[in-house]
Amino acid sequence: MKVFLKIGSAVLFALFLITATSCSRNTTPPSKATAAPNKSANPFQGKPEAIQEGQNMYRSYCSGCHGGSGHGGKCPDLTDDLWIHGGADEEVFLTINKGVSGTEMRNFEVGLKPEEIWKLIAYIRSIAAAGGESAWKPFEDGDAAHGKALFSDAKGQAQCYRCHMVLGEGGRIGPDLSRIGAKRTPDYILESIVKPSADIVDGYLQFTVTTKNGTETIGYKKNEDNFTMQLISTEDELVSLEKSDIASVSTNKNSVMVEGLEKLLSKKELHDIMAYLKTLNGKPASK
Amino acid sequence: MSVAASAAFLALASVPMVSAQVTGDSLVNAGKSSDDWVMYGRDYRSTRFSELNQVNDSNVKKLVPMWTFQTGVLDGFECTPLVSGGIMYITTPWNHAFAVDAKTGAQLWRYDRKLPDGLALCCDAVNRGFAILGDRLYMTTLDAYLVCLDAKKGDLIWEKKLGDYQAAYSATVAPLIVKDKVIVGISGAEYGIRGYIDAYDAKSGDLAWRFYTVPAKGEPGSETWEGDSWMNGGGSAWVTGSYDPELNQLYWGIGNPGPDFNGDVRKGSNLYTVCTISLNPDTGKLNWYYQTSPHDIWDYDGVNEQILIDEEIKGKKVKAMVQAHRNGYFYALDRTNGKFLYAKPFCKVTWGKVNDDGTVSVDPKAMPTKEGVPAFPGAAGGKEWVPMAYSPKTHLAYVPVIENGATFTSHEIFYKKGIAYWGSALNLIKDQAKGALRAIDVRTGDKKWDFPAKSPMVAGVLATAGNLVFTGDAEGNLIAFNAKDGNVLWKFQTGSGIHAPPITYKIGGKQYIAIASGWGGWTAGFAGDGAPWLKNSRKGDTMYVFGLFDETASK
Repeated sequence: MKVFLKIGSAVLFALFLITATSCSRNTTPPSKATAAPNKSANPFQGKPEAIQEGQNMYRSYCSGCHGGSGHGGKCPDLTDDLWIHGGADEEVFLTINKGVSGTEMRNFEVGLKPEEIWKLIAYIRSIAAAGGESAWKPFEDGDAAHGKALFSDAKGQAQCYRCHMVLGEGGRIGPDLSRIGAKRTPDYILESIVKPSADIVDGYLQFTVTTKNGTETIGYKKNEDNFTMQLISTEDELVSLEKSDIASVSTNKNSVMVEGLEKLLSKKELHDIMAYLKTLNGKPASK
Repeated sequence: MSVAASAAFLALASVPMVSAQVTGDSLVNAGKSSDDWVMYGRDYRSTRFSELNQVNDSNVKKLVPMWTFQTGVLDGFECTPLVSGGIMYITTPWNHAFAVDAKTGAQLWRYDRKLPDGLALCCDAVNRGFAILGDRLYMTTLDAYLVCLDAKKGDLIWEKKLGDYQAAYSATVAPLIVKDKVIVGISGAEYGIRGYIDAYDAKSGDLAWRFYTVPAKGEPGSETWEGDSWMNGGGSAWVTGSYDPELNQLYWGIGNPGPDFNGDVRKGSNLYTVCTISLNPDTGKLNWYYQTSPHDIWDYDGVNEQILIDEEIKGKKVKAMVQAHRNGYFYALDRTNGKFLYAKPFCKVTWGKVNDDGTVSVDPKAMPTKEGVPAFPGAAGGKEWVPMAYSPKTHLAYVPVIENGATFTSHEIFYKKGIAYWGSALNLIKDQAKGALRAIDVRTGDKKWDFPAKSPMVAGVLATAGNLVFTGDAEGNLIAFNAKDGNVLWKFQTGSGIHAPPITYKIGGKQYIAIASGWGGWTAGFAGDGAPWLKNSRKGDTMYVFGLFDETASK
């Protein structure tokens, strides 16, 4: 455990350096075969001063609809990988410059110069979901195929698949990991494995709900309104409750994922699982 | 009478008649036991209280849908429908409009406006409803026009340009008819406009007067603006005002100054932004003003509706007006002269406080900075534009409340024509947003009862003489409460979040309740990161109409 914690803090520091100096992300989508990998059309990509200017513009011009943190509001989330009008730099530029007819997205060419739009894009890229590269590389030595076997082994120590789904197979107690490799840094994935309660993903906070007749359900909220609540229980059941039948609801600070997986698995096995998770990008594995 | 003629007569008799025309007198008397709903706030006092009591606390459980009407326009559905002479008039997002048989839901006509691209809209492509006078309807448009439609046919009679949409002027407000004039307010204070309230002749459409909500250099009040900052000073007037026919005073709430979050470029108190103003409706001359948040820097628009009440406050019967302000205070003013009566917080407030004499003390620690500071309430306010209701029977105002703060930032900004002029942003405090329907005694400002809600409450409210209060929630429930104690008596899932006010009306001896269901509006301001569970909430486009289940009527 201590070893991992040490690695963790070194990694966090490295991560800090990365976020402070560069913001490279998958700015060119895989579909754009013509664009060189990791080469951006944006002359301001990753430039801190431009990003700062971009932030000012973002706040004033964009946040009203796309939210102060870019997570969307009425208008689309700008921090995920879904780009309705195209995610390549040139496409995002076009969307901002010309607007989208029939929506509230206006043509910003009326007020912004091209270089200002590029700075805005540099900022938008900088707030996009964590991803990118990490200084922590041991997973590269791992055997992804073996990691996959460990992930799915019904008799193994990890049995990840019981709670996590990958491309339609597995449980639904924990988050779907089909795109985890594209979405999260290795450091984050590692932290999630050895310290599952350190950061519980939105929507997976566990609740204990006791009804007036004494039935107890532990699970995360799938939905809630003023009169009902729906949970996915740790038994993998969808439980729907009328609030008028509920006696108490309490929040559990700890993840339901077991602590101490690093003691149950060898370092090699952990690296193998990491290597497997890093391959998960939402697409079926290539043959 | 020939057979053909009598058949024609019969056909006509079954058609709803528009002949029961809305006149100036019927508007003045709109609050008194009318079966119709002929203006935005139900009456000139904006009470949203109806004397109808066929549906009441003893039988509301038997409320069932009578008809629904899907407009096909999926965006924030903020309309207060009007009902007159058996016909319901509906406006939708993007300035489409419909006339519907209010008893059956059959469509009579539709109107579609071709809007240009390049509109500057801060808060969804919304519209809040028609005004009606005679056989004419009036609607404001997103490209800043006032249109006059023929109520019988839906045809355009005339349109008048309110402002230049390319300079970000737009309009969403439901107009108010006073005598022979159509009164409207402009939107666009998030884009550096200079706001105004206009009055147009209801017949000809000619401009009768314009009142600028930001005075020009040299005019009274201009000393409250530094340099040329007044030119982009904001002050939208985007929520329908109230009117007292006896005093002949028109009351209107004025929105935020521009830029929203950076006050450095507009030093001074910035009149008449974030004010309640009283105008002479015949001339547009200012009677008095009351500024609730001088030099606002949190986007606490002063636009929320003013309900006119005659109640005993501090031991004296007064002609008062109450407002649940976005800054989180519930205000009572003397509506004859604008004198302060009281103000009490109705939600969590940290920006500062309103003192006992009505003056304001701002907490310097809550002022927006480059890095950002948290303050309560968030910029959509403790209550958004969605109108509260007031029942003279319970002396309570029923306030839809947002409980959430935001981190406010501020930075340097230069005006550019047509694009946003915020001077930074707000970011709702994560996962903390909730709401309530809160009943407040208008005589004291004290809370009487509370319905706590999971999400911000951003639907309007209706109160009735049946001891009922209706409102909607963000998850789509239309809910009926006991007006006295707040107990939930009935609910119905409409399928999309509700961001509109319910109304009630009566046709052929039967009372109906109507609500527009369709999520939208400035959701980044009142939901966003504060209520991430509302992200990607399903949209809607449906007018629901309910009535009591009648076994004998099923055939």
